[in-house]
Amino acid sequence: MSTPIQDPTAVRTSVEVAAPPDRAFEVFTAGIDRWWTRSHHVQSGELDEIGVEPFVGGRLWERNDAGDVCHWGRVVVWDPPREFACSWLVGPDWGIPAPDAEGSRVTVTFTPTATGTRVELVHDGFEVHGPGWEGVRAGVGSDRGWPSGLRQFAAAV
Amino acid sequence: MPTYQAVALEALADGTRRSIFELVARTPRSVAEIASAVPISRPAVSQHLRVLKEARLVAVRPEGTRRIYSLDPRGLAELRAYFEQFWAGALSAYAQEVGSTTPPEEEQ
Repeated sequence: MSTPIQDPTAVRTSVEVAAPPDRAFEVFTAGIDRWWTRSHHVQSGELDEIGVEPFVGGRLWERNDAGDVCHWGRVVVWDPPREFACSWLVGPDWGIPAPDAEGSRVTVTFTPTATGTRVELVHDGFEVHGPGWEGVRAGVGSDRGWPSGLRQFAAAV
Repeated sequence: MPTYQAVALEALADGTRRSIFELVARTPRSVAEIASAVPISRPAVSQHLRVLKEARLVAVRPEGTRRIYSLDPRGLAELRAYFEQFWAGALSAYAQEVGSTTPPEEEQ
């Protein structure tokens, strides 16, 4: 099996779901408000709703309980049911990103399996790559294990 | 008290600090050398270095009368660990959501 060149500093995580890719894609994007961690929002107050506009250039937005809306990402790949990618503008400790903030990138791919769909997520480009980045790779690129939460989930399915 | 992960994220959210970080990541150098490479004053560079050092993104060592700044991999490892945890939790919740609702076509 050939492996593309990978940035070892990227965060990679994946999960198997018992649903076909079109449904897995739909829940990930249109259904994001149903599974998103409620504590992860950038505005003050409580998170009321989070959404993804379903097209390239569309915004990842959130609305708080006061009705304020802000966006902190943009869709860069919209290719249902295979791939979804967006920029990730949230920088400092979940503060509201500046209008000109640069983003890292989140890429999600949906691959059919015998029993459902394998969903793989890569978050990379943490704005610090460059000529000096090679020196960092040795320090942070060693751990490739699956996060324990995902392992538990996979075992339970 | 913010975690080191949050501190590292905050430190790198600033464009000037990111430039300084990339400079010292490429080649360890002194404050004067950094100041000559970025369009800000030397005291401002020192301020940014202090933030980067607190975030454990850069380390400093004395070399004669100079202090040489270089990359400290610990801050980045923590930044990565933060996102790894975050996405693991998010995808776990996502997978449960996929599994907990019945697709319309299977209801018929």
